[in-house]
Amino acid sequence: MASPAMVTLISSDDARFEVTEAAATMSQTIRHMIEDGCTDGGIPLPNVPARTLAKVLEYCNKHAAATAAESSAAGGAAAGSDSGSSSSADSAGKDDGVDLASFDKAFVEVDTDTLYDLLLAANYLDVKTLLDLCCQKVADMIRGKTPEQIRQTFGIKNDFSPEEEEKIRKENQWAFE
Amino acid sequence: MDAIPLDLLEVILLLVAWPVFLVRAASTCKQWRRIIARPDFLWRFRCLHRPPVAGYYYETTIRFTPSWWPSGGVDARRFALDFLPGDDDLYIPAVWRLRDSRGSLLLLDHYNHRDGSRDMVVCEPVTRRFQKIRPPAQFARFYSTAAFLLDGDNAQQAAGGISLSSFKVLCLIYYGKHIDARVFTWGESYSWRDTSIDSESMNVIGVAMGSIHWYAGRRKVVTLDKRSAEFSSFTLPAGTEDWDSLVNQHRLAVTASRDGGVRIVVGVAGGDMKVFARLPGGGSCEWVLRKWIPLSSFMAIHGLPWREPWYFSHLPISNHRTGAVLIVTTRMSLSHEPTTTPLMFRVDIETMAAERMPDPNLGTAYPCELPWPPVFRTITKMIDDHGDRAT
Repeated sequence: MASPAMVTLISSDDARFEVTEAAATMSQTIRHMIEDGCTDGGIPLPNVPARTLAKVLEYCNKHAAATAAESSAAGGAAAGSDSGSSSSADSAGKDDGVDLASFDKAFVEVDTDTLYDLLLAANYLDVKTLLDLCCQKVADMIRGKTPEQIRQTFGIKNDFSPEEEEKIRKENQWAFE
Repeated sequence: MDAIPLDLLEVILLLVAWPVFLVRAASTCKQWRRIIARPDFLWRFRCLHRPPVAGYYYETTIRFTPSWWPSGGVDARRFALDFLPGDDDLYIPAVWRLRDSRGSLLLLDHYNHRDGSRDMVVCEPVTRRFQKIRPPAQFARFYSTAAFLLDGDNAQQAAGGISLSSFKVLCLIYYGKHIDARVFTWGESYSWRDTSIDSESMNVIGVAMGSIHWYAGRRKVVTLDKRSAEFSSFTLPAGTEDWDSLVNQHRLAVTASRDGGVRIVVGVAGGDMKVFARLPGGGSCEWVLRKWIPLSSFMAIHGLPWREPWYFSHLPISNHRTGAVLIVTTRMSLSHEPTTTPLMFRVDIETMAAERMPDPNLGTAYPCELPWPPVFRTITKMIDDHGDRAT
């Protein structure tokens, strides 16, 4: 089996990351750069610092590997009696699904600053599933909180006057008890 | 949070999903509030997340019972109906009768001891507001009446459904040989308009796909869309069933499949159910037998008691938001005993799940949602649709 194609990514603080093309192209932004042939000497990502890029790549590596395992499992199943291991490959694929869900869940169990950084990086790099995951996590963190708790969690400045706040509460009193 | 681009922030706020927490999010800062209060945002939010049912009011007790998720995040005490007006002159508390619910609103009426009329209110429990309506004069005099709550004319454009400033009430008055139908539109003329119903009888056989279904005799089914307040009708197939006698035995019901099609369900003597569906293809009103359910043996498999005679209760009128469920009632003791306890079962004609309903004496359960859209007047200066004309 040929070794997979590799690309080099360069973070905003000049750290270099060597990753498989399959993992890197989970980012539509990087995919377009590769398609345009802008890969010589590495792909610069001026909006993403090393710390965040490492984390994003952890996500991409995991998901790219899972996708590869899934498609090989599907291939095995299609080959049928040839391999004789199609059923085990198939169940391995399913385990990966469960595994991936718990990986995703654990992946966004981070402090708010890191979550922001991931959100912005996923947006810039255009990694759709990671962006969805981060948005959902932030939304989940908003749920179940009072306005003051939401402000504290996300570092939001309260720019309402006390009178405005009072009025706002009265408008939808039922939501604040 | 300042660093988050606005389009992302919008996506995040859409994912908050619960109206209560959306309202709280709109109270954290001006930026969030402006995004959330925008009509197009509220419209999209509503399309993604139907307002959760906070709980149910039972016909007999008119007491609020929270649904599985504690009242959608709202204190259940907020749903008490103690704000409704009484008969002030007579110092008698009004005995309100629950007639219908839709969205966050309830429709109730009560007999007025002062002049023998009926008082009718449409109320929103969670905001403790109500609108009095004077029902048509005949409504009080005739015992056999029905009343339904419908969306107002501008419900669709206002990023939501029914509200205290946009609703209609339909009253049916049964005169024995003919039926009077009157529609009241809030805010329009404050009076009742005759709506022609060309039928002698109207038996409710259920609600499916947001429409009330009546059997009107001679194989005709009349439907009323609760969104558009428009009547229409279709004809059941000839030859296969004796529809008139099925209705008399309460063995005819409608429900909806999960993919959004109306199902006509017929109870066959011996304990089987026949399910009819419309032939695919737009506009066609041909009904074909889709499924045959051996109900009695199926109940035995579930270890549920089963006894003839059985019938469909009219409980599903307001009971269920997702279709495919019917309420089947049977009697435990032998029919010659004077007092028999009815047993009620919820039967899903698609999944074939069946369960016994806890208390058959509670009557119809009317769902109540949280108000939508919420009021966002402060700061945003938006014209909302939930404003109260009376204040």
